[in-house]
Amino acid sequence: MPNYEQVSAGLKVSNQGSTIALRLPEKVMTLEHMGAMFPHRLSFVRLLLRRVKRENWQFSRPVWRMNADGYGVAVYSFKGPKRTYSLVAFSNELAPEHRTDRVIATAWDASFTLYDGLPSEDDIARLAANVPLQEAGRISESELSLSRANKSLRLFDHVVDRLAAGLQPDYEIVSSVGYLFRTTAVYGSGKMGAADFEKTGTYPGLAGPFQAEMLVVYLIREFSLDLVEHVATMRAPKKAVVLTDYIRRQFGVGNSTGLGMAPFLVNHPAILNQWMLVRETALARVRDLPIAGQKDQLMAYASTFRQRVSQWQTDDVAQTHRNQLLCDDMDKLSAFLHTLEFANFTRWNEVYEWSERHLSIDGQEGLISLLIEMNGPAVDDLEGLYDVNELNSFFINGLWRIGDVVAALDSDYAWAFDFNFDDPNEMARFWYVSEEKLEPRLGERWHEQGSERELPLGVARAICELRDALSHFDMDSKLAEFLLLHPEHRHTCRRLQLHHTRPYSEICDNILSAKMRPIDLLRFKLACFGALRFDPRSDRWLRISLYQNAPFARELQKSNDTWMFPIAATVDSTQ
Amino acid sequence: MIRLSLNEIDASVKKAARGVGLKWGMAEEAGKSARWLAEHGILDMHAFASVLTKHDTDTGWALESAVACLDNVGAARVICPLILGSWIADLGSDLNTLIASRAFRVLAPSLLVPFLSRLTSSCGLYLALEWPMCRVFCFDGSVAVEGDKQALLISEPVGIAILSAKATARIWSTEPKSGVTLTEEHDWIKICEFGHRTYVPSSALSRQSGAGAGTNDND
Repeated sequence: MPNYEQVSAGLKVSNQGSTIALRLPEKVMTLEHMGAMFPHRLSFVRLLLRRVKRENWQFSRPVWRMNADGYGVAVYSFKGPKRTYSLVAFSNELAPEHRTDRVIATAWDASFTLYDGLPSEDDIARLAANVPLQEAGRISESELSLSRANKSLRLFDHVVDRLAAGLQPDYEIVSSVGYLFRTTAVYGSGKMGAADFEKTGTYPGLAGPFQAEMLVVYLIREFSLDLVEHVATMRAPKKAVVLTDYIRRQFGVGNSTGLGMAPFLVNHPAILNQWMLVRETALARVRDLPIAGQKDQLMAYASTFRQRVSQWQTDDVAQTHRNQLLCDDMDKLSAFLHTLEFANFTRWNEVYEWSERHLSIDGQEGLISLLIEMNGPAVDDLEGLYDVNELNSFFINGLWRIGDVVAALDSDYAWAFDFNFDDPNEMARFWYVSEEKLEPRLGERWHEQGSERELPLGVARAICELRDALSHFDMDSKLAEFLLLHPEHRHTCRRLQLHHTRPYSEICDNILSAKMRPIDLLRFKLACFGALRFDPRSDRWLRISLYQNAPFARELQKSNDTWMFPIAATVDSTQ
Repeated sequence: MIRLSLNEIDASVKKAARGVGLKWGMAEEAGKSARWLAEHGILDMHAFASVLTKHDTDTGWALESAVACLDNVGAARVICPLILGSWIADLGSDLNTLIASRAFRVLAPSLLVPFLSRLTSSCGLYLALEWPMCRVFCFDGSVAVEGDKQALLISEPVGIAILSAKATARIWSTEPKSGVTLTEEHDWIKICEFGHRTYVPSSALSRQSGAGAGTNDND
């Protein structure tokens, strides 16, 4: 484990001799900052690909039974040092009117499961009877994940047409969509009978955050490219060509992400803490590093990043404006670096502090990802810091005196008391599980029915209610007694004790507010996954792409882990 | 027959507990208890269904159980094992003052075992839970049972005692399980029905303010 220490007051990082303080939760755990985060070299897709390369996992496609139209079954296997994992993919014909990315859909272009080992024909037959049904089927503890995806018909058909004609697809079209398949759900952790995370988390290679899910998406990308080339070849066996390596790299896997993903961050505070702690510790470390010798490298990163951002396409006016500001920020950064005097600026910390004064929040967060990207040796060991056992923070210590609880509330949740919950706007929303969708949704409290079935996600409000209730209780009595008589505060007290030693475990904002934008929550989580190309479709859902520009399985050993933020001087040898 | 993962058991029992009116924090305890019992091979879905049905039909039972814990009239009233268990776990090492001085009458006593086991992990205690024909020893987070399974999984009200005791003989214990295979689904269906009450039906407004591409995902 890395050598770090958490001190709730000041949050000093002592590792590697750094004296840079971690950024305060009240600053970085706001929706404004979380909704501006970018992926970084410790994002989950990066962890997976580095491990696969480091351990030299062997890739194969032992089953490919597809008809001329691309319908059938395929199996992709990755054999690690101790275990083999296989994606079992089913491709089906789907009428356009049935193509919906809602979770409640009942049919998809393709469905997938990640199998523990190499599946036998009996296994494939069993899975064929269940996986395409998704929620209506059942899988077993031999399966680690269940997912489905729909085609981007426009791009899929375009690519087939062009390849069958012996031509490469139009780069602009490929780049503007960015994927052939878009997942609509990637389930793990025991869903529909699959193996629980407590089990899969002990499997070699899958111990980190969402590693089974990231592996599934990576193999879906392989499948999507194989499928499009297969259909083109079957259509014109003599004339069809395959994709060039360069064009091929432009395809990631799309994902439509809506409200269903948002409550995870509130429901798993111990995990949220580790995700942010990894990134903030990495930032503190690199801020303390000398600039010498790396100035030109950051300029190159900023230039390439700017170029990529300028290519992102979205119909969302606000996101378009933010992307433009980000491009401007990268120009400002380059200009600043160009004139930077080493006499006054010796560490990256000075550049970071300059960014706080001169760049937008997107610009600041973008710079952080670039700084971390440049300094892999200083931060890559932080991967181990993701490990967390949620059960350890479930138990309540009822021996705390009420006075201790009040003191913890006042010191750790001062931000929560800034909200006025007498103002109807601060209570405007409520989160619930939809009977129709069977997933979380956001309601308008003053206009919709159902707030009595609200999910316990309004932490700031609950903290204020707890503080009020405690003020009527004897300060010397024990928390156990209070909770016995006031079980309505049990959930909040559990959070409070967890948060007391995990400073990044709470979103320091009011997610019931009329001003709250759910896509800020979604973007943060997707950035942790490693997603780029954020394309908001409303304030409640967005589309993203994973693994765009990443090396394919057969290229991994030759790649050099620069795919997410490539710069001219370090372009992958495989590109 | 249906096999449930531990996560499914946890989530479904939590929802069911909330569905019958328990507060969220208690519902979380119910889910985690069910998961622990499943993992240790002693989950009785009927016991959970009985306790949750009692809450569903007697809305004052939660408060009565809490008051009975504090008022030293525990042996006279039937207490909810989830409420008693949560309180006991919260007490930590203070439980010692309770042992020997109190007796309780609870419904489905096996539901108390996860809470005692939690205490033995966090406080290093050796505890035993005793009721007619059954004694359950907890130590270092594990469990061993003296008595037959029928007595262990009783879902009727019984008087129980909590003792400070170590297992003295070789008695049956269980291997860790990764889920539960239900041979009879009646109680599970009931739990799912309770959980269903936590869902909010759609309205015209909620359909308008959707969270995805809607009915057309063609792009």
